[in-house]
Amino acid sequence: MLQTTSEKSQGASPPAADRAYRKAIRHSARVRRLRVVLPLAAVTITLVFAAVSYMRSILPDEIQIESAQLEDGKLVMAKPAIAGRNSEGVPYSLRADRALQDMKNPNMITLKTISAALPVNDKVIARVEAESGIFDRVANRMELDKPFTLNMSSGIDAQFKSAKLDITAGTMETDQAVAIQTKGASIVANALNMKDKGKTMIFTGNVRLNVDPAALRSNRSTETAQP
Amino acid sequence: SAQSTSREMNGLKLSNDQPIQIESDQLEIRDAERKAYFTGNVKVVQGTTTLQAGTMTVLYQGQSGAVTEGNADIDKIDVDGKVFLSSGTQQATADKGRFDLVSQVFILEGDRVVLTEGQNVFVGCKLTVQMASGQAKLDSCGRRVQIQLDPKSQKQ
Repeated sequence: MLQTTSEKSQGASPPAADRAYRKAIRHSARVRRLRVVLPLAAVTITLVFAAVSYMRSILPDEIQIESAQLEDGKLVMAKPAIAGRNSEGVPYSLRADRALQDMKNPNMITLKTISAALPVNDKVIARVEAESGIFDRVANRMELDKPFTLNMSSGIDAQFKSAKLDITAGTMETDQAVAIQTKGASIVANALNMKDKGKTMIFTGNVRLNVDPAALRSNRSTETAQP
Repeated sequence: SAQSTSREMNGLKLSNDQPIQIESDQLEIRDAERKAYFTGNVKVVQGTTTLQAGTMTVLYQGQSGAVTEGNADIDKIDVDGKVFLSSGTQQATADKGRFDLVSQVFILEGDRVVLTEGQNVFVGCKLTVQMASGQAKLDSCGRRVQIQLDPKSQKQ
């Protein structure tokens, strides 16, 4: 049964009473401290939790970054890597040297020195190397505003001045000069609109196509010759 | 068949191996249909042969995805809209034409298919050329083949 401090001290000799008294004082001091510290701890934990979840929510969950700092209202991420799957479940990935994200508009990420692998259709993957681009996380679109190169895994190389890519739909559009080369054929035009995941390509403006049927055929014969 | 004139149009030996340059205002490649539509000032040059037309549709073989996979082989070419074909001293104009690269035959058709060779002019309605040999046959489709031979060319 809980003895009240006063009974204990009367029965005990003075030093015992003294020790019990001092223990009680320490106890209540600790309680007082806890009464302050505990809520404080609780508050800080919730604050930290809120910050982390906020950070988590503005960063795409599939993003990995080496480090990130806040510099004058912009989140500067080093070596960001974004990966995901397009509407057909084919994986795409996007890496950059730096990514800048304005806190006021967290869905738009400006990327510097980009290297991306974007599925054009189930068979062909397009690799993009670009100086800079603006990635719209929500719409899953990328605008490459500087010259860039594109290589299709089907053996097609292309050079662009700029372009707008819709990664999920697999479309790409440019209203500036484009040059594309494959083994046995090369084409240049003033603009290109690639739709239906690369199945439809519309070149417009001074279209020049050079075809070397022999090379095209040998390109195929080497393919068929492979075991 | 109706009166026809056969000529050697060796210039028209379109080979399936020589490099070809194609120019146009627009090109739409529809891979699913395995077709490429050239539209607007279409000009095709292969060696000494030049073909011009309003539109040109190329049908290629190979399964879908052939173009994006870079291994498309041309099956047929249809040209339309004021077709002009020239090679060396021979020229032909027609309304439309078809090049069948499998059977190596190309045909130019129209109300007036005009074949000129130097100063000689032949008018008919259908010109059929065997691409391999350049052998060309101009049919008059019932009308008389109009031949206008340049007297000078007779003396050679």
